[in-house]
Amino acid sequence: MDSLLDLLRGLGTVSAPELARMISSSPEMVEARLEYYVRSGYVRKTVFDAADCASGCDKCRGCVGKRRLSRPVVFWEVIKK
Amino acid sequence: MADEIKVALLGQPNSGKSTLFNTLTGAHQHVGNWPGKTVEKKDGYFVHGSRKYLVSDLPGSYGLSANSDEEVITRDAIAGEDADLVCVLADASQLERNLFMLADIAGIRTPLLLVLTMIDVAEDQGKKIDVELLAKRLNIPVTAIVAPDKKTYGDFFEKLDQALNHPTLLDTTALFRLFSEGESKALYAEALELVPKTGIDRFSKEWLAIKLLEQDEVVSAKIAVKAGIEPVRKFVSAAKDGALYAGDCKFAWIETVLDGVAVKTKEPSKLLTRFDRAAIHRFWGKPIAIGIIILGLIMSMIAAAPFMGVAALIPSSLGSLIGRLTDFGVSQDLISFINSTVVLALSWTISMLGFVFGINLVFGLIEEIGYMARVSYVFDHTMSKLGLQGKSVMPMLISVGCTIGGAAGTRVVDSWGQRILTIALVWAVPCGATFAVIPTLATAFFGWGGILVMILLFLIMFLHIFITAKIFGRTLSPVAERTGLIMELPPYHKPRWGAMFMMTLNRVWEIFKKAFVIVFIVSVLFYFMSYSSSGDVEGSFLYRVGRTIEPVTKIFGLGWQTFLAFVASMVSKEAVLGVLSAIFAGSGNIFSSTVGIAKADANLASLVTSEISKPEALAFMVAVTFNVPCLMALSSTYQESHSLSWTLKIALYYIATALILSMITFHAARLFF
Repeated sequence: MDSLLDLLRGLGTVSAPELARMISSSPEMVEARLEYYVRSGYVRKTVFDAADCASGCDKCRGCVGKRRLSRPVVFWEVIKK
Repeated sequence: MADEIKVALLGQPNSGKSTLFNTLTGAHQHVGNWPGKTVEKKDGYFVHGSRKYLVSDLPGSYGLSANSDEEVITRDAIAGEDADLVCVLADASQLERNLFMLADIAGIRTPLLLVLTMIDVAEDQGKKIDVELLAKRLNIPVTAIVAPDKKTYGDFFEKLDQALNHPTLLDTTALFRLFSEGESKALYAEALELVPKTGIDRFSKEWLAIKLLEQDEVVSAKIAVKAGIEPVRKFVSAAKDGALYAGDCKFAWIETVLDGVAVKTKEPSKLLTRFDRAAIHRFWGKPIAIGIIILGLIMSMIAAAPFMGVAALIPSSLGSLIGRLTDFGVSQDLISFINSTVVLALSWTISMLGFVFGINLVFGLIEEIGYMARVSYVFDHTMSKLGLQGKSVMPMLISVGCTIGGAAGTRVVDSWGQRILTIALVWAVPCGATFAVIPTLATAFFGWGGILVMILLFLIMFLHIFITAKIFGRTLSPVAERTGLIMELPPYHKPRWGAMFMMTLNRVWEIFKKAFVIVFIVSVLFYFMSYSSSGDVEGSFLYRVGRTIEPVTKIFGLGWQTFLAFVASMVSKEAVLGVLSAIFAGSGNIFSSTVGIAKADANLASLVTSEISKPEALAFMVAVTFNVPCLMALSSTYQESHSLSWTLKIALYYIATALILSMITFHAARLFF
């Protein structure tokens, strides 16, 4: 059994599918473990969603109401506790 | 009267717990508060067979640690002598996450029934759950339901009877073995030494030891009463990362339990999987991304071609139509004014719309299928070399649409210095308006060679970003050390063509309205500034200003006309077209005096291109691209940075670098043209 957090501390940026492959696990399991780390205060989760900008400039793909096409991107960041 | 059975419903938020509670109890509910707490207590009852079931809907929580009132109440209710049975609910579509509650309850000696909810959602996702195998592994009854549909409850009632007639405890052997054989086994053994050998009430010694590892304050206090305050305090301070160890053990157990239980019936396409591996590969990911972007640009220009054709016809067709107004007594001056403002503004705008359409459609498709996030991922490594956080790459991608959105997007960046640095870099990324104006000019000047111009601008952009990061990074604290950042990449999707076309057409219409107004207003403004009723060119205000500043503008490779367009591009990129339109096809006075030929009625694109040399055109496009994006971006930068000083520094830096780049481009281009 490996400590996923120890592994993450040694990595730079990694994608969730790559991380799952690295530890021979499923992306769902990786996500569940990351959520636990968030609750325990070891990891910070940030959702990057253009719709949150609220500038209302109507230029990027986030600000078009129901027709929005932008897909949120989730970042999980290891923090020093 | 029937037997009264006390059942507690336990589960994580959104596990379907309240739906099950409502479906079972119907109107037989009572809502109050837990004694001494403000946490809601929901009780109800239902009758099935010969039994009356008193049901408690426990507060939803992710686990049973003492992190909140809800969690403490929940575990006390489970471990109290009240509950005959605890139904643990788990969303079958997210078992990896939801079984954590089961791992957390392991060691509380209460009979359990595992209820898998949302089994229909799991099936839709291509997940098949082997309920029997799961029950065998856990040693407790397991049932699967669709919580809002009572018709699916048949097996639930059967398993409920089974769990009550033959109560069983969860098999915790494998879980506790992980604790006693893992990296921190010594710590776990030490915790076991501190807790009472027979546990406390329904809490087993293992459960108490694990909670001690997790630094659970309530459990620590209970243990301290029996083992002494000092040994417990010492242990807790030694087990600083105990919660981490406990979590790792619990998830390792969940993984073992689910092995072969949750089977995927829908495998992702092998071709797509191979492509994705290449798309996010450290080395191959970048050339693939660059290739796709270049291909996107080429396709955008192909999509723009019909618009360009229509736009080119407008000055001659509409112009001749307006020319007939002389038959109705309309003066030649007014006709010239309409042609130079309304008609040319319309021509430029429609020409520009081709690129708006093409770029939005092609790059919208790239984003829609889920590839854009991968582009940001593969360039993240480059970002780190510039001392930027991994999250900085997303605002930069957003700013391809709009710099304002990009600046606002920097809110995800935590440190203030990093945010300012990211905003400074976001400005270097050509925005949507630049992507509309510059290809219009590039195609006008260089035809299909416009694609090469666009690639050149991309290369300059990367260089600009690199230099800017180095210059601003010195004072804005670059990240010295980057540790673990995980990017969740969205799955690939089939494009929603209808939504994409609607979105693209919506964008085209919005830009048409805005761009036409800007180009028209600027055209009118510059028309009047260049107008001279006497016909004496030197009497024109614009001419005098132009001639005065030209010795300076020439240093940067720009004529006074293109320099004025460069200045206007700080207000809005679309304004560039208005300025060119007015200066080169205005009343004719400025133009004819400057170049010696009156061509006011000619096609503007060919007129402009014939009078501006290719080196100057290239320098001009570079200057406009890397100038201050627009006034709104300036205002947005101030709002996001809360610093007038940094906003002005960034603006002055961009004006200076745009002119320097323009000068370099002009002299370099003269070697080729």
